[in-house]
This record gives sequence, structure tokens and C-alpha cells, in this order.
Amino acid sequence: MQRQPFSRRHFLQLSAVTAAGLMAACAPVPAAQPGGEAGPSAPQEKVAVTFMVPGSAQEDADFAPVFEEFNKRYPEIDGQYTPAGTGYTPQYDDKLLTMLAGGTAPDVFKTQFGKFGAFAASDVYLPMDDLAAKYVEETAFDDFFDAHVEACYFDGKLLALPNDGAPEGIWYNVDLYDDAGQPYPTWDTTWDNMLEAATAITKQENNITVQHGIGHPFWLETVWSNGGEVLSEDGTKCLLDSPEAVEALTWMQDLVITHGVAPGPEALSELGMTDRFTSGRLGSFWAVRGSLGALRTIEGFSFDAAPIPTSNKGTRLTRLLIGWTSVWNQTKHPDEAYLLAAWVASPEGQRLRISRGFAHPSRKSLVDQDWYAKYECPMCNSFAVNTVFPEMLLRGEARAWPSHAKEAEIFQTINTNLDSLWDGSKPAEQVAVDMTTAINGILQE
Amino acid sequence: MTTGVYRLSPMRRNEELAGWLFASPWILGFLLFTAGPMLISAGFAFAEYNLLQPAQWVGTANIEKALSGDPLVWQSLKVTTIYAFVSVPLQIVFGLIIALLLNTNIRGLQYYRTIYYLPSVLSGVAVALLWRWIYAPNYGLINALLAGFGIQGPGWLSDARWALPSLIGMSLWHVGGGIVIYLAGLQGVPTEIYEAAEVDGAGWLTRFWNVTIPLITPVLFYQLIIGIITALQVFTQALIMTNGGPHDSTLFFVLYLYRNAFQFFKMGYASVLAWILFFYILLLTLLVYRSSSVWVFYSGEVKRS
Repeated sequence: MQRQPFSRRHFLQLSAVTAAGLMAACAPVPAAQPGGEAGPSAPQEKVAVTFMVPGSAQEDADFAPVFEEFNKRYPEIDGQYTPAGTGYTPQYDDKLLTMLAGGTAPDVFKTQFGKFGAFAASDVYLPMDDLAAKYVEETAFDDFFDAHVEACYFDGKLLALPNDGAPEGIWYNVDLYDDAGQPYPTWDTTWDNMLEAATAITKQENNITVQHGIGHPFWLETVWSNGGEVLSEDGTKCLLDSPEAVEALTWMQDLVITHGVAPGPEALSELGMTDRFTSGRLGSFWAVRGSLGALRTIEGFSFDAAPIPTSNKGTRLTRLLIGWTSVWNQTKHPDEAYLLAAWVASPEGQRLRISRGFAHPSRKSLVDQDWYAKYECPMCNSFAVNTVFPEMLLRGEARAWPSHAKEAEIFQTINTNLDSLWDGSKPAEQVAVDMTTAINGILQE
Repeated sequence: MTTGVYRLSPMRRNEELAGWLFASPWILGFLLFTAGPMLISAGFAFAEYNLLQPAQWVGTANIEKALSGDPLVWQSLKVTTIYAFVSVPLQIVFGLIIALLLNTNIRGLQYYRTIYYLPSVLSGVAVALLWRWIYAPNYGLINALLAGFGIQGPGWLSDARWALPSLIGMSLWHVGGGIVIYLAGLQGVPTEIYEAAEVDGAGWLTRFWNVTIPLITPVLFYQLIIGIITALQVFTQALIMTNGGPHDSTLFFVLYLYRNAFQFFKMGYASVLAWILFFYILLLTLLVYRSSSVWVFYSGEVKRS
């Protein structure tokens, strides 16, 4: 076989063609126009609508039947599940932000905690009020828990539908409570009761605390339960230096520093709260119902769920962590996108997805269904896992953080200052003052 | 004196064209993905911009805030500088010592070289997670060793006094990459110079100090420059191991920049931070470069006093 000589001219021609191809491949996709037309297409052609969540093997499997059923119910729409593949990490926010900035965002997407306010203030969400009024049956608005719906409004506009969302409760190790002769946490359990039980459960060996009685209470619901607030109603002033907030922070600090019943930063740098609990070395910890996914690995002891304790004033207000499903304001198909969002948040859409896992539905009708109300948790001491979380919602004892355009910066400031609370380097009152000063600075920028 | 238009022969012209075409992927890449974004970020530095809404001109407000109104800029600059000034010399010294040991004729040398290089190819995230366990306060490797001597080790990553030194210690994990370069430099030292020094009665230390070190100064210079640039851009370790804490004691400059850009959506302010880092790296690099005339020796070079 005769070899063809490959001349420099050929090489240069090939290089030019390759470079042109690469340039063409790198050319940006034209951004969609708000509410614009999809362009000429055959009438019978399906309208494609994309949907993005962080995604994982479990989440992808959970969503598979949701999309299968959606595409059956709406044959004129091609609902496409396009997970980011990042899991619930900051990388999802980075990817979403980049897509939004580049004009290539999905039609419908989920927003992670801490970003809803910033995105809402930047007008990336399509207001849904009119669409919710137009598609009354598909939306079934009254079936949502009130707290879930409230969390989807920003500046008086409905910017998301809640696809799920759980209030935070506590999980406790039944065996450790039994061994210490302590009563289980109930609806009437107060901070003092929790401290008493935690003190009895905490154990030391060779000057190392090998078993802590209680985990870190989350700061937000501790402040709320004591009647405190983080921000003023108009979001322009920080109120964390109020006596109620300081009292709550003091209780949190005392658990670690004064009483030594909760793990400090040193212990937590070794083993996190959930791992401490699953390994049987923690009496109780604050978490949502979804933690069952991690707790189901427990074999050696029984555990159960309970509402968070009331403050010593007898009041309780826990935080609600919700899943926001929103429509991009640049979508070419607002109606179809809304129908997909409404389907994901619908009772049937949630049932198909959540009944395979442990998330908490945002629908009142679902918590009465057998798959939720009669769920049998093998190592649980009772059916409390199926009752306490919705009960806190129905009692009005759960609320989502009121979204704020600068919430990520506010949370970062609080978390940094909490270092001083947990290691005792500053008294709680000083921590509260420092946080308030720093947050007011952010709000005034 | 004659003047005229300088003409290239067709062959030279083709060669020149070919040269430009060969270099064009890099030139295009640099213009599109480095110079372009740098110019745009210079513009953003004077704007309030969150990527999602049009940028708004704010004049020098971002620069003024960064230089005078934001204590975290100075904190992050301090943390990053301490890290660079301690970790880079340590990496050079450790890398050189190990390279000297590996530059001898011992059996199984290639295995030792592989073992020392191996950590360099592991991903930053995996290494960070591994070191979290090494530094664990009660059951970690280091504190277990200290306990053997009756010493109670600190919470390496949870104590603000120890978190930064812990990350500096962890940086030595990556000396393997430098070792390969030192080995190449050591093997480039002509043996006849050692032999001549030996004939003149020079001992091991004298040979090392007066022959080896001067002849590998170009390698040390290269490692110093690259080490400083890399150290000033540290990000992954701080994000995974400590997330800047406790008490911002490991808030590296790039981590603070990332927070402003991607968590707080302050692209304008983050652009200012990026330019501060750029000028800081440039300044340190130029200082090292200027100093090189005093301590870097190239083969065949004649130094005039």
C-alpha cells in the first residue's frame, strides 16, 4: 500500500478546519427570551421542559417514577429530568448560578437552603401567582401546610412551590435514656429537662467524654423558641442582642462549656453529630425526618423521634427546611414549566418520590396516608417518627427562615461567631453583640 | 547606509505563518480564557454585579472597602502570607533533603522514589479527608503518638492556635512533586566538580554547600517561585478541612474570594480581591526575581563583583 505524503499544506488546512470546529463548538447557545416563542415547530411536536435537582443515585431513582407518570399524564409535554450530578453541595449552587448567568438554566429547578432569597432578589424566578390561579386543580394550594407556602413568598410574590420539607425535631437514643433512668422527651419537655437527662447520660473515661447526653441545638430554633428573632420584620435590623436571644445562646453555650454534656468543637472535629448518634455515643440530636436515611443503619440500639424541647418559658418554634421548586423567568414555556413544577409538588408526585425515601411531604393530605402514617421503622421505639414532624406543623410550631437577599452572608457571619460560643472564648452575651454588629454592617451596605 | 523594505523569502514567510499557527491555540486560549476575563474583571471591580442582574457602576467603592473597610481582607491576607512564608521554605528544605537521600546508590531506589512521589498524584479532597483523621483529637494518629509520650495533643483543627500550623504541616505531603525536580537538578551536577573538590580535600558538607547548592540554585529558584504562587492560591484544603475556621484562623485569601463571588454573589468585590491577589503575587515574584541575581548561578555564568 502506497503511503500518501502529508504535506505541511495539508497539516495547516487540517489545523484550520479543527480550529474552526472548536470555535463553533465553543460558541454560546443563544439565550432564551422571556416568555418568547419557541420558534417554528410542527403543532404536534412535544414541548420539552427541563427540570434540575442536585441529583444522586438515590434521588435519580426517586424521581424516575415521577417523570414517567408526568409524561403519561401530559403527552403534549416532554418532561426531562436533568440532574446536576453535584449532590446537595455548594457545587450545585455554583452550577445553577453559572447556568442562570449564561442563559442556559433549566425551565424548572430546585433551590438549596441559603440561596432562595438571593435568587429571588435577583428576579430569576417566574412569579407564579397567576399560574397558580389559572391551574387551581393542579396546584391544590390549600393542601399545602401553611408554613411551607409562606416560605415560598418573597416580597409578596409566589416564587416557588414546596416539593417537600420537614420541620426539625430531635432524635434520641432510647437505650441510653433507659440506662440513665430518664423519661423520654415529650411535647412538654423543656430545656431544663433536656439538660437533666443529658447530664445523667454523659459518661467519661480517662478524662475523655466518651458519651455525650445531647447534641448541639440549632441556634435559629433555640432563639425562636425563646421568643427571640434574628432580623426585624422588614429585614433591616439584626435583633440577636435581645435578652431572649442572649438567654437562648447562653443555654446553648452552657451545654458545652459549663455542663460538658454536649460535644465541643474538638470532639466534633473528630466525629460529627449524626455519626456520634449512630455509633451510640450521643443521647439526642437535632435533625429532620430525612435523617432516617442515615439512622436506618443503626442495629445495636433503639431510637425515636420527638419534638424539639420548649424553652423554659414553655414555647417552641422549630425551623422548617423546605425544598423550593421554581420556574426560571426566562423559560420559553411558562405554562408547561409550571405544570411540571406543580406536578412535582403535587400529592401524587410527592407520594411517588417520597414514599421511596424519608423526606417529609409538604402536603397535609399525605401525612394521613398509610405509607407515611403507618411507616414501620425497625429500630424505632414507637410511631412517633410518623407523628411528631407533621404535628409540629399543624400546631403552628414550625417556620421557615424568612428569606433575605443577603442570607448567605448573614449565615456565614453567624456561623463564624458561633465558634466563640462553642469553644467558650467569649461569653454568649458578647457573641450576640458581635453577631449583631457584624450583621447590621452587612444590612447597611 | 542603505534603507529598504525587508522582504522574507516565500519559504521563510511560510515558516513564519506556520509558527504563528502552531502557537495560535495557546494565544487564542490565553486571549479568550485568561486575558479576556482579566480585563472584564478589571471592569467589574468598579461595579456592583451579581451575575444575574446588570452591573451597576459604583466607582472605587469596592476598592475602598477592600483596602480600608473590611477586616477579613487583612485577616485572609495575613493567614495566606504566614502559610506561604512558612510552608514554602519547609517544602523546599524537606524536598531537598529527601532528594539527596534518593540520589544515592541504594538497592530498590526506584521504589523509594515512587513511594515519595505517590502522595503528589492523589486528589486534594482525598488527601484532606485522610488528614482530618490523622489530626483527630482523641483517636488520630498524631495525638495517639503524643499520648505514648504522656503528652495530650491539642484539637489540631478545632483550636484556632493550631489550625493553620496543621495545614502547613499537611502541605509537606506534597513534597514528592518537588523531589522529582530536585533529583533532576542533582543529577545535572557534573561529577568531575565533586571529584575536583574531593581532591582539594573538601568534605561532604563542604561539597554540598559549595558545589551542590550553588549548582542547583536555578532549580531552587524555580521551586521558590512556583511554591509561592501555589501557596498564595491555597483553597481546597481550607474549604474541606476547616472551612476557614475556627475564628477565621484558616480563612485563606482565595477562600474569602470564593465566598464573596459564589456564596454572596458579590462579583464586583470578588474581582477587586482577585486583583489584590494578582498584584501581591506579582510583587512577591518580582522581589524573588530581583533577588535571584545575588543567589542564583547559571552554568557558564561569570559573576562580576
